[in-house]
Amino acid sequence: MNETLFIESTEFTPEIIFNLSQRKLLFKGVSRPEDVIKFYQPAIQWLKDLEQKIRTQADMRYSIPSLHVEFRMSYFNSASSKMLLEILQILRQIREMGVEILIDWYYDANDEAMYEDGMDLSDAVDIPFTYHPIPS
Amino acid sequence: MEKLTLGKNTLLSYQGQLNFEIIGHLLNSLKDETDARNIPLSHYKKILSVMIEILENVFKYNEFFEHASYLFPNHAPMFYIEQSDEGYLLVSGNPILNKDIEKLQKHIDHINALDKEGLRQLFRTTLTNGEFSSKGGAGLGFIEMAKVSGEKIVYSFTPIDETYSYYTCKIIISNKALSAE
Repeated sequence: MNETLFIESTEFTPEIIFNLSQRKLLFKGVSRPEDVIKFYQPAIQWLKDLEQKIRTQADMRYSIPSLHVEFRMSYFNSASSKMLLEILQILRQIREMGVEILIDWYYDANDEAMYEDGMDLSDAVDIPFTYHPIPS
Repeated sequence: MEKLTLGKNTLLSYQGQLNFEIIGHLLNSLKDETDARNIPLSHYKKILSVMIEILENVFKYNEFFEHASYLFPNHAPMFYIEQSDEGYLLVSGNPILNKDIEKLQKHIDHINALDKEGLRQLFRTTLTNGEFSSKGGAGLGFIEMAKVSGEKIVYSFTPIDETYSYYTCKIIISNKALSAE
């Protein structure tokens, strides 16, 4: 797997930046891809590779004590929420191996639904999120 | 693609084939129209999320037009949004196979029978346990629309012939739901 994954945003899809050396993952923008499974496949594969690496190489657990995940989504459709859950489920597997997973959920302060979407995902995956309303 | 003339209280109206690009175009029109009418951002976001789910439902059902173009002149897909004193009304219409009606009706009736907490629970269990359909749907679209709407989903099926019916779906975003922040 590569150290970094960068997917540029489009009108219909979010920016995704994974940077292992900085221990940072970012999802930013809107998400209603034409083919949601295909769009998220590279991100899911990257995380699966990371999970396997941490599971099979003991020293990885010490070199990656924590991962910082930022969601800065302004909109995602219901099919995308299913893919975000799949991503979070891989992060939970990584968490179960001792890596601290810190999830920051940013949302427009006027957008109660986006806050609720965060809570739904957090509950579904059983990882606490930190919520950050952005004043608009 | 044919655009209908907009009435004073019609935010958006479209009749014709739907594809991914046309949906994008309609979403941009919604943004322009809500800006021009000074509709609050919080209203815009609620309309947007219902509009995307309702149009994606029509779009996912598009495929059979390839072999049923005869339906087009009178039974093309359509979509409109109206603003009134009671809130916003979003309406979609499209032909549907008669054999699919029962399943769809059951699904909507099930959602309509739930209260706010029930919808939340169903959303969460579907999110966790649901599988993607062959059309790429996650089974969450109607639940999402009902969550935003706060009202029952109104639907009808009007027979076209022995294979098809015209399916209409109405979602109301009431003032109650708009002020529930």
